[in-house]
Amino acid sequence: MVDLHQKLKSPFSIGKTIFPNPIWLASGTCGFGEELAECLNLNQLGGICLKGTTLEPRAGNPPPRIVETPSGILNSIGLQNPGIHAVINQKLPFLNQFKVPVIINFSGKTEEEYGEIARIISEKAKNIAALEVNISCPNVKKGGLTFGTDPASVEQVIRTVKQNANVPVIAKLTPNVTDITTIAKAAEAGGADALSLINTVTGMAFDIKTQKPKLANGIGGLSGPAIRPIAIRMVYQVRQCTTLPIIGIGGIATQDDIFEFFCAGADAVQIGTMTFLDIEVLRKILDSI
Amino acid sequence: MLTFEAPLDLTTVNPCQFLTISLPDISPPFIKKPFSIYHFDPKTRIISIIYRVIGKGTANFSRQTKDKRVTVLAPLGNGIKPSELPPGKLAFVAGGIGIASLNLISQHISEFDLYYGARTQTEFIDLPSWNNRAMRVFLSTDDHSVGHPGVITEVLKLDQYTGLIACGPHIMLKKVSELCKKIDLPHWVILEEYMACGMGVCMGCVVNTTSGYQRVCKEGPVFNGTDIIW
Repeated sequence: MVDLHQKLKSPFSIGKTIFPNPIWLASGTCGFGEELAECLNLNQLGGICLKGTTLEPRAGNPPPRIVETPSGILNSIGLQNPGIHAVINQKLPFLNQFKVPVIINFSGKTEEEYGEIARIISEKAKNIAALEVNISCPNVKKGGLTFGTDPASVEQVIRTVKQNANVPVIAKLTPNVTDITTIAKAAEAGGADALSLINTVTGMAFDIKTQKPKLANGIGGLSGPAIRPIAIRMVYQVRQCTTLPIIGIGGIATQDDIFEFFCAGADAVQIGTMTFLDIEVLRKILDSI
Repeated sequence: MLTFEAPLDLTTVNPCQFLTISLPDISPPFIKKPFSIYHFDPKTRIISIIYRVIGKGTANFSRQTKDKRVTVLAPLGNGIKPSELPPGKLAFVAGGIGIASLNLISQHISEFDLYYGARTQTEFIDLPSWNNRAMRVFLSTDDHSVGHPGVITEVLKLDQYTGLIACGPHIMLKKVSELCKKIDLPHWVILEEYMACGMGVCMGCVVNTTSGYQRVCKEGPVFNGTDIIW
């Protein structure tokens, strides 16, 4: 039996990079840290995964972008972000005031673009703990999910990023596949240093008055406690086929939920939608470790 | 109305700022919902919001009893400072529950008329108080039960004002903004949008503006009406 409380307090490492504890914030649910720093001590976190970034700035999808569904949120933000150069020049200086390990999450439209972003980060960004390669965003037409569902593309994209990176590379996997172990193995073959899973589950909601989708983009990504059993199952399956560190993500809302991910085989976790539901819960967990 | 005591560190609230609220005994967990801060007394730290029972969350509000604890994030959004508004007589335009956003700012304005539309006469909130404070109050109801039969934008006579501030349904705000733009009347709109975080993190509540998508919860909820791409 693993001492779950002890594991919650223990440092976690990917290769030679050590993270002070296994509780990270998930990309897309903490922006670039500026707003959350007002109500959360960022230094208590094991890591912070920044909002998904692209080479050029992206305006994102038209609103409405958010719909609440039972125990979850459907979103279709569409990777609104200021672009990698602005993230490095305007967002990182703020985060560098803290000791929290920073993980840059990014995606590209092409394999080359993934490589180029990794190269820019290696050359220009300081104090980055790891890269999280988003091959799983359901809300953009090009890149993201289109790479993440094909094992050959996953392997190639991760290999290209690895060649251009000077910090550990984490592959963030999508649940929107038939067999996640195939994708996990492909990422490992490409040289991934760790795996994070899962990204959101694609979903839809209709307004029965207008008979139209509630999200302007139609399809969105479901997060929150609704997807936790799916995430737990996938972490469990991936644990059976790899020894890489696994960072579990999906609907964590209590400390017990973190423990459940540990039981399934996760080495660390990312907290996402819970930050919106009740930041007090997260604060209490961080205070206790 | 839901009234509660704010924690000690809440000392100031700008008019038109909002808060998000969640209740501890609701399951499954809900995302915190945004509400305009209707009233805030810095001395007693009593804060109130106005809500209409729409879903499970607001139905739960109406079952709350004294001494319950609620989780609140406040104050949120940019609000509006009275000094940002032009001197002279202003028009306030409220649709339904949108009246809640206009209460705090009205306390700083000596000369204003209120245009207030609702679905039916029983939905008007605090009318005696508004009758005292506003120079004139114009009402409209969708069901013709009181005031102008129809929508409030049909009643507006805007050439007598130096500025306008409005809160209500999107369709009303759009019409108000069109009317203001015709006569170059400075106007501010207080927007509502679905929100997940309420504090600028998730990028979920954006509105399209002349300078791109802006967050209603952070850059808003008050926007210059001419900046919005309706």
